[in-house]
Amino acid sequence: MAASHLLGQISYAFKQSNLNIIRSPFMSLVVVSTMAIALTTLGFLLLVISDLNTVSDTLATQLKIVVFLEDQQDLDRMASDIENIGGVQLPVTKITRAQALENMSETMPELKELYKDDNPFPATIEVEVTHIDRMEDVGEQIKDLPGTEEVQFNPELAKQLDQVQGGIQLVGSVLASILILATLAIMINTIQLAVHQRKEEIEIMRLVGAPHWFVRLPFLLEGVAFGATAAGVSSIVLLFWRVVPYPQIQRWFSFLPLPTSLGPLLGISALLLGTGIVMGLAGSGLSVGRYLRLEFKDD
Amino acid sequence: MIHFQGISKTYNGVKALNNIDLQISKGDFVFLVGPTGSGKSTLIKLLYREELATNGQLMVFGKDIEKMAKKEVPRLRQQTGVVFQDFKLLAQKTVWENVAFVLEIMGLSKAEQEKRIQGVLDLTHLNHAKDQYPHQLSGGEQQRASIARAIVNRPPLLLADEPTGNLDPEASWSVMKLLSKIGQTGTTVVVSTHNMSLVHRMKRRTVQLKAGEIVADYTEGTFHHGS
Repeated sequence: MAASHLLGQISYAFKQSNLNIIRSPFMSLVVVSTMAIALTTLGFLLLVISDLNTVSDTLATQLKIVVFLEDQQDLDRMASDIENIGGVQLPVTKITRAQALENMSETMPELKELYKDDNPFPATIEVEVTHIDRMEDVGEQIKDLPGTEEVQFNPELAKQLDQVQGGIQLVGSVLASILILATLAIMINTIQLAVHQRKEEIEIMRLVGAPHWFVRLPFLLEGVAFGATAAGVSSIVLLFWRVVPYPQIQRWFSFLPLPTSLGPLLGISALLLGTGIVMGLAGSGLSVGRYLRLEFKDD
Repeated sequence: MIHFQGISKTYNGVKALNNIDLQISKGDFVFLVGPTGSGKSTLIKLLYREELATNGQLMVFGKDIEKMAKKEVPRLRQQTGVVFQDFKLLAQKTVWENVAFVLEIMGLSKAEQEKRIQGVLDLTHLNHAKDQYPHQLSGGEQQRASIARAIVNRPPLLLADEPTGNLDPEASWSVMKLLSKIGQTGTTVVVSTHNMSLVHRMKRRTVQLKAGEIVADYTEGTFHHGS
């Protein structure tokens, strides 16, 4: 009996939250659009940060350490020694002397005939690092290995790229934090506005003996509906950005390795959905709680 | 059923009620009368715990209201129907939905709800208006809808705070007759009003307040307009 009563009460709360949204279409539209604008701004920033990180990561992986070996050195043993150094991305790329001549001959075919009996090109190993900030350290350690004739890498470029990455992360984190706080404030205030409009309803509900959870539930459900809808709208706007204007931007900046995957968008959409729902709940819960607490002002 | 013992209530240093002692038995019909500011509404608000007393003990249904836990307050209010001067109907709900709302809180089945709502709409003569919204009703109809909501869960106690304050004489009399009819079913009814002529016509127990104190307690039929 008690369980069926509870189910009846919960089903009533669901029905009420639907009715409230339908009966106040203007307020619902204001709340959802304000939340959607806030979430879209946040989502856009997160997407830009994610793309910039991808660009700098891609550029970083294109930076290599090229190791020229002394004559008569065992290419496999040297590769193995280098792979044992911490921070080296496995596996390294081995280029034999014959392959080096072959590679050069692709651009200058006459070299193949010229050096067919006396190949002057040394065997080389191309090394990538797991993170750009490891490049200088790895390069210096390779230099110390016996059997290396020359080690080529650009520690300055690596440092600059590392600094750019750090800068993007720092500025991105600060901007994202500010925007997250602003988004939270906007969303909570907007929902409070919607709840405030119905403070009389809350008062009547508690005066006729509605338990606090019964008063809260329709508002919480509305908050979830508002948050989820706003997150859905934001995701659609971000998807539109990615599919329509973004390819043109990619063409303008074709010299940069701008990412094409929709993967980050999925993650950001999930994050916006979570944020929207949590904020909808928090905004409704806090606002209704404020009016419910008034009842016990003398306690 | 209701026992005020030395109840006082102070707002910002101003005494709204001063050392009230009053007993109301089960099934009583009691008027609270007095001029504006005499403490009638405060006394009613203490009964459904909208306000807490500053001093004294108030027992309702055998429970000390002042010491009641917050979570027990909704249960107290479900046992106490309240009728307000400004009706306090939900503007976005029809008469039927306003009345049903109380039963939804109790989690009653649809069939049970329908039976009870039909019963109170018959009693309050509101069948014709069951699908109308409050703004489509006259003041008297709105107050009758408010009474229907207050009694639909069959509370043992019905409180009415100036129920005729916004009504014309004809509607006021109709509301008073309705409250009296409800009182005849065994429900304890407490009505605050400053409409002395109505109280005189009703010939019920009448408690007179002045400046927060009880100055007279007239038994049935002994109150006269101008007392």
